[in-house]
Order: sequence, then structure tokens, then C-alpha cells
Amino acid sequence: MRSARHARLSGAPRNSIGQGFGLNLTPMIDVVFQLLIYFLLGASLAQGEEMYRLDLPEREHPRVRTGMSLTLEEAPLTIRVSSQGAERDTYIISVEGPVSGAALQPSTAADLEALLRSAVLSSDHPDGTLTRRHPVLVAPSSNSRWEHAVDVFNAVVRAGFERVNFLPPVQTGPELSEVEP
Amino acid sequence: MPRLRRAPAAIEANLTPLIDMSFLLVVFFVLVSRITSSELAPMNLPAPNDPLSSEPGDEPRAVLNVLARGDDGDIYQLGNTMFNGDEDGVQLLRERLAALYRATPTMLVNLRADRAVQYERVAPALRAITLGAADASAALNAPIPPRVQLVVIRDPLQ
Repeated sequence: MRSARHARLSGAPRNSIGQGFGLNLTPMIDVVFQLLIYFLLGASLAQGEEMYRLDLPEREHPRVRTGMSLTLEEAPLTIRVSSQGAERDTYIISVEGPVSGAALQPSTAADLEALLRSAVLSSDHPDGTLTRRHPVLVAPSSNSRWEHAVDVFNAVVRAGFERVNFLPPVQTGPELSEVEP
Repeated sequence: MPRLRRAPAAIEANLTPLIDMSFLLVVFFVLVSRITSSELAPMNLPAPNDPLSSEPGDEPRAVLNVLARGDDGDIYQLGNTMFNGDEDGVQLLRERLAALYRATPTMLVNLRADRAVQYERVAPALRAITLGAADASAALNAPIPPRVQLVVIRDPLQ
């Protein structure tokens, strides 16, 4: 039941009960709805963008010795990617490095993740030979699509590896290379 | 003697300043959003399956876009500035990044690359970031780690 007070506050016309008190909320509601629409549109434009952290190897300048450059004290696990088409999952993966079963070629990113999980020493895989701190280098070929490279990067991160980086394209010169395989 | 009766006082809330302020806020946010969105070039970002990515934080960052197609070979966009994909363009990109690193040594670089871009276009951008940080590190005589955030999009259907 609408009370007389409620009727007055909502901008109802004056009557004999509530004389002289009219609070017109219409402009305020208009503005609030405009703000609401604005924020809804703004939120949908920036929808879903997320980040992967990637610490590039630091290049030491002769005058600035940090001792923090990525030094590969262990032979890195190198995962080569080569796109075979524009469709999703149309790429070839090959794994090179200290993983049991050399010349491995998982057919999808999910297979790669399973392979890497089995290679990490854990309670589930006591015969694993790698730790999560083992360096992993994703090496796409020069014509590989970026989405395929990111698919493989995601599989490596999902497998639990913490030191993942990209190698420069295979066909470019050594000047690009910060970390040699 | 008849009593004089006052007319009831009309109490009205003046909403005009509130509306003025609201419109000012709307204009402010629209302008800010235009400035922010102009850094984000429209593109199809990679959408990996079950991504282990995270939400962006509040750290100071620069946005480097790698476009699939650019006018006159301009394929890199840092902030609102375009750079060519040739050696000179990458060198200019490196110098610009070095200037940004000198101003903000803790800066992150959000790397947005179109999913169809070939890796040979992304690698020079990564190199420019590394070398730009090294240049700034030498200028400031302090270590500056080149920290990158690869931007992907979470598929809403996943």
C-alpha cells in the first residue's frame, strides 16, 4: 500500500494531504540510468582481457652488472612450434631436451601439457626428471601464428613450469637472440 | 480578532547542482575512456583453451600493440604512436621504450598481438623491449628488468 509520504517523495502531484513538498526525482533517475548504460557499455568493451606474466631475459649492460641475467645453468627444454594453417590446432609441436622419450611430437597443446606434467618430478610422477624451475623455451618458427605460440605457452604454464620464455624466430639471425638454445 | 494563518512553506530540493555534477562526471569518464581505449588497438587477441592467465593489476604499464595489418608498414603501436616494422621503426620503438623505462623503471609492457600475426613480427617487439630496458638501465646505472604481460582474451564460452 502506497503511503502518502511515499507518494509525495516519488513526485506525485500535490494533494490535500501533502501540501507544498514536491521532490522531482525524474532528472536524477535519468542521469543515473545514463551512467549505468555508460558503465555497462564500457565494461563490455574491455571484456575478458587477461595477462600472462613474461619476464624477458635481462641483457646486462657492461656498466650495469646485476647478476640477474637469465643464465641457463641447465639445458633448457625447447618446444618448437610450426603453424600448418590458419585454423586452430593446425600446428606441429616438437619437444627437444631432457625429457624421457626423445623426438617427442605431441599433436595438440593438451597432449603437450600431459607430457610435460608427466616429466615433472612430483608425488604423482616420482620418475619425473624435471623440476618446475627448469627453463623452458618456446621457439615458434618465423611464420607461426601468434595464437599457436600462445597456445603452446599456455600449455607449458599449465603444466606448472615457472621459467618460460620465447626464443627468437628460427630463421632470423643471432642478433635477435638473447638466449641461445 | 481573526488569527492570521501563514501559507505552508514550500520545501523543494534543488536538484540542479546534482545534475550538473552528474553530467560533468559523465563527460570526464567519456574523455578518460577515449584516452584509454585509444591505446588498445582493435584486434583479435589469442584465446587459448583454459588459460592460466590473470586479471591485470594496477602497476604502471605501457601498451604495445602488434597489428596484423598496418598502414604503410606501421605494425607497432606504443600508446598512441605508430612505428614501422622495418629496422628503423624497431629502433625508434626501442628508443621510445627506453625513454618510458627511464621515466618509470618499474613499468610493465602489455604486449597485445593479433592472433593472426606471424611470430617474426612479435619477436622484434620483444627484442625492442629487452634492449629498451637495457638502454634505460645503462642511463640510470640501475638494473631495470624488462617485464612483459602477454595479453590474451578469455573466451566467454569456455
